[in-house]
Amino acid sequence: MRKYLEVFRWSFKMQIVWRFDVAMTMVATIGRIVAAWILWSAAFSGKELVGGFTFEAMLSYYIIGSFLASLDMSNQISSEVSYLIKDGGFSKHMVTPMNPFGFFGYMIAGESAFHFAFSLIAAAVCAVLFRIKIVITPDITGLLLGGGMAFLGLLFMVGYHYLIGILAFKFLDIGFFLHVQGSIISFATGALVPLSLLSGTVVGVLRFLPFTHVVFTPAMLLTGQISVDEGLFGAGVLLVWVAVIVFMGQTTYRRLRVRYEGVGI
Amino acid sequence: MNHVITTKHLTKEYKRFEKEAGLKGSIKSLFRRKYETKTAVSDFDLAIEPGEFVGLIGPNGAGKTTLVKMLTGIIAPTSGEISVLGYYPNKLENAFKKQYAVVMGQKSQLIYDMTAADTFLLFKEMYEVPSDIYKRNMDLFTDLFNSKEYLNMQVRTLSLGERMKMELITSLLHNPKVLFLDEPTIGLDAPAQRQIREFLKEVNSKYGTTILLTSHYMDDVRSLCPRSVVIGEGHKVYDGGTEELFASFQTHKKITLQFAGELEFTAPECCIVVEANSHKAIIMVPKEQSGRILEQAMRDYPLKDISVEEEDISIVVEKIYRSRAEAKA
Repeated sequence: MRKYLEVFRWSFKMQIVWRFDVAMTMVATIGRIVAAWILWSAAFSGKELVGGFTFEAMLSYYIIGSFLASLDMSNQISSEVSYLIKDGGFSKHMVTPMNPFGFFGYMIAGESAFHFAFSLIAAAVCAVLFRIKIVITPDITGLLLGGGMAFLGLLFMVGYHYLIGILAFKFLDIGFFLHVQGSIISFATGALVPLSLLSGTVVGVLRFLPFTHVVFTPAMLLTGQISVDEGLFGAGVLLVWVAVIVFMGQTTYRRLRVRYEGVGI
Repeated sequence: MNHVITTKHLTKEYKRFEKEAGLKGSIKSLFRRKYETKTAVSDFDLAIEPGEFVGLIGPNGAGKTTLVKMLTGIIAPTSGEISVLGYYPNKLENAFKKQYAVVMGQKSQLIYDMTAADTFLLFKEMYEVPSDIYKRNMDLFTDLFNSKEYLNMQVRTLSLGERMKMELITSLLHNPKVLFLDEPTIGLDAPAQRQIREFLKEVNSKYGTTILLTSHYMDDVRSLCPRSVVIGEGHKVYDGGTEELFASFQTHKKITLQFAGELEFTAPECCIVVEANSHKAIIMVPKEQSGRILEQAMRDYPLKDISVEEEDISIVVEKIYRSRAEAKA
């Protein structure tokens, strides 16, 4: 366990090597919040509610949702793992006594922790400067469940991108998978077509997929927009998917790694 | 004697696809792909005892790196038997991985944006090295290399030689029983090469670390390895004493003469002319006559520069092949 914590520490340290990057991360977070504040102020001018949300609830949802989304740095795992497999760099993960999934998982956790810490500071600064009242559910169960789901969501995304990355052992080029997975996520999260436009059956099916529960459900839970019962369903779905994806990742790695030729070293 | 490394009839085949050049070739290969099987290592037997320092030499594409990749578990063999420290390497068991280290001259394990000390810390935890052993090893190796001052500098700012020293220290922090070195002195200047050789000698003699060294530099192998294994086209062509190898097969020296003006060069009878023009001559000279020929050249020609090199490993391998064919005939 200590070795993975050292990977976490190393990854966190990597994020603060370049001071300009650190400053820009905070500026970007502040910029995003200010932009949302301006946009939603315009949308709410003269209105109490938009889509059932008050101004404060909408802004809180946006801040928490984008905050959770920015913590997910996992998409770089698929491209990095596949690149390393292609150019031979993956060899170093085969000769060191560490599970590659654990290594990449903790590496991403270190990056996410950096973004969590610095975005939190930036968000707090904004909340004070612009007197934004962030509405968070007072229900402690909802808070804990939302936090737990955010963690499970990140874990799922890490497993998901790791699985896609190691497909490079068989296919070498995983451009197709990266493209398809992007479309699946966009569709399942409603970024491609609003979920409300889809039929009830499709929406029902999508509820059993993990993607909406990675950001949407925990953000709604944390802002008190959905009940703990609804959250529990999402947490259950996520839990099952995490188990499935981690199992698939480990099995696929064991089966495919024997094809590795270490070309490039 | 228990061997640290054993292979029997070890073979590795690669499948790679061929494609004709041009757009037509690309379209054709989209529908009909032609594959070629290349045997990188063939029927390879090897036995290495604990504490040995063995040189693995051969020309480019001979199969040296493929063999090291199999011994470290990076790739799986196609057939044959392989055992390193009693393990089947490609099972990639952590207990096995903690007992060896590999340094690939062209692939770094250091973290470029961090300091070398940060990489050491990561490796300390990765290999679960107790703090006292970690501290002792780090002090010892940095003293040996006289490189304490580089520890807290960003790796990307270090020179190639300094980086290689840090690579070697990283790989030795966990006291590996076997050390695989693939071209550790590649691209380094003479003083850095010498320092690394001294360091490796010390590690081998003091700690009994078994070392398998792959190198293009004959000087590395000659000065470090009492035993050499020569590999050519995937086959083992020689396994024995390094001095015997060079005495029997490295029979010539390559002398390059750069003339101070335009002149006509006449090669002495015993020499083989590789290249000769009015400015420069490259000749292969029998070793025992190299001193006399050099003296003669310095006397007879106005020279701008002279260099004397050992015979290339590919020529040595060719000679071994030839001697084997003659013996068979």
